Amino acid sequence: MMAYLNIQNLRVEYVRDVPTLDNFNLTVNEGELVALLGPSGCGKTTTLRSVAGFIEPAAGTIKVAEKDYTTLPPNKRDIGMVFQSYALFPHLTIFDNVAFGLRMRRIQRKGIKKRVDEVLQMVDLQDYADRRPVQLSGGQRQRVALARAIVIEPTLLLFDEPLSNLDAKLRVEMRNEIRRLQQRLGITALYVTHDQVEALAISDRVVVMNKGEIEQIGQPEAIYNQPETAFVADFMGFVNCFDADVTSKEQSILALQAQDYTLHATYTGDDDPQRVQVFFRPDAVALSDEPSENSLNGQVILRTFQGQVVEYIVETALGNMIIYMPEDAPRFEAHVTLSLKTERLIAIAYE
Amino acid sequence: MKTSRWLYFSVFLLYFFLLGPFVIIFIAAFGAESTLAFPPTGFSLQWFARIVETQQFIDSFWTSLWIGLGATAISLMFGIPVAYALVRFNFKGMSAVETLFSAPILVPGLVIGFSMLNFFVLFGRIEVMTGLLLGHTAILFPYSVRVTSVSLRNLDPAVEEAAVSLGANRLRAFMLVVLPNMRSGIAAAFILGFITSFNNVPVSLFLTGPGITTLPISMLSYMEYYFDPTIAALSTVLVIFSILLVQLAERVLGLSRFI
Repeated sequence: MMAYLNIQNLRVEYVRDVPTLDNFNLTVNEGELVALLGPSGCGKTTTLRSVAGFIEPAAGTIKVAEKDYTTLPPNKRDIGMVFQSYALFPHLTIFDNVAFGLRMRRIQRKGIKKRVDEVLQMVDLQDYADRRPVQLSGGQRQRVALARAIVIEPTLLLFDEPLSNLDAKLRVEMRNEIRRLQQRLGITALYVTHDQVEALAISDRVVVMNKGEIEQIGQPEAIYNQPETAFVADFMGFVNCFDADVTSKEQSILALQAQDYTLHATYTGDDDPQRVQVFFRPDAVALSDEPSENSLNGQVILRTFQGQVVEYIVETALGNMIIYMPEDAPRFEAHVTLSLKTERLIAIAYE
Repeated sequence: MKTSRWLYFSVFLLYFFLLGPFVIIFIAAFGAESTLAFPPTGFSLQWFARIVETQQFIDSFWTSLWIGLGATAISLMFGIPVAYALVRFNFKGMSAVETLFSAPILVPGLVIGFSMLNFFVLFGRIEVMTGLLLGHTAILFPYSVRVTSVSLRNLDPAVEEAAVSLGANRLRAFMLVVLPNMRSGIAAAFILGFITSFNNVPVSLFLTGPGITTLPISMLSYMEYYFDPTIAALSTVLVIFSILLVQLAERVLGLSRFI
């Protein structure tokens, strides 16, 4: 498939000779929604703003549908953008907010009316056309912002943390609405967020970024289950970690020695690492009273009830581990065995 | 309880010294004597009639009005772009520019007036009216920049970017999105500027010339020769005029926040 958005060797410098992004490459296919995920300062917003044209890159090219966008002024790019702060025009009605882009394109009055009504219908705000942004709730405002961005039939939709100012319940609703509209209209989209769940739920592919570099690109399931770097593992909630030496490798299974324990873990790389970090999630472990294969011994030092799960902090020879058990599981005290499933122990080579 | 009694007392003192002089002027303006006296012995409106009969006051009122409106408009025309540059861009020497623009607030008015006298009248041989207009524009400029900056700072920069992403160039985005959202700041700057210019003495003192004078200056020179309550009457009119202006501003600006 041809890349629709093609970013090549992008370099951005806010301060001269100090690149925020360097040699950055990313392609997005037509109709795809790609999430840029990472902590603040990782370069995800810089990437988005470069595509929008608000930042002039120091080097590299940005192409959309084979057209060179690199030096095109932002108002000539036909890109729809949805901002974290909604960025609605406070002095205009909802109708005029949505009509703004069409007026800039000198479309006739009648055509504007028809198009705006149609798009307001899509986001279920047809009854709010005469209101002002201040009279709307946060969720409604963001739907106006979405309508305003899609009404111009953009070549590309950009989302800059669009849900960060909404409360948890609305965030899920809006997330689904954005995804539904994006798929229905078949618009290619780039979506910046620092929220893992949001990125996984909304996108076709996730790009995990850290310090201006891409750590991993993949489908949400792959990012969630098979992190390839320690950063991605940590960022995706693999909170438990220990070091181990590799004794042998058979296909994607590593035999490991970690102090007195002999364990098996999954490794996705092609090389033969000597020393690895092993990650696992709190829910990837079964606690039991009896010793078993692929397990660690530990001592419960804290048990806290958290609703759906019970959290145990277990002290082991390899460090303290956080374990979630179902709320209805038997209660464990003092000595426990942590049974680890090989496919859920992820080994990552030391760089 | 004791604290609150002290509080009431100090508030009373404050208001007494702030408002007391006004009250005395206000009452004296309606006096019947031909010299300013308090308390007056009779009631008369003749001093108000005297204002209108004195051509000097009428002429200087119009001068002050035009200078006030003109200088405020010009200072805003230049002040808004400067405010925009200071708020939106980050450039080298920005703090120096900011300090430069606040200089007319910090430098004593007499010094400004004196230097402008030298510059405009003696050196540049500029007409009195033009000199006054330029002088007042200069002293209003910092107010224009500062007051409009506030409303610009309150406007999310993303709003402008949204306009640009929707196809507006920088200038159109400014005219269609930024300027309309600055209107309460601009109105506030206009009223503040006008009042500042209308009340100004030190700069006008140096820049007024033969036949052309502003209202405060003509009030000063009138008082050198007469001590009748005309000035008290005129002051009363000016106070009421200012209060009405501020009230109007509050109405318009207060309302604009909700519309």
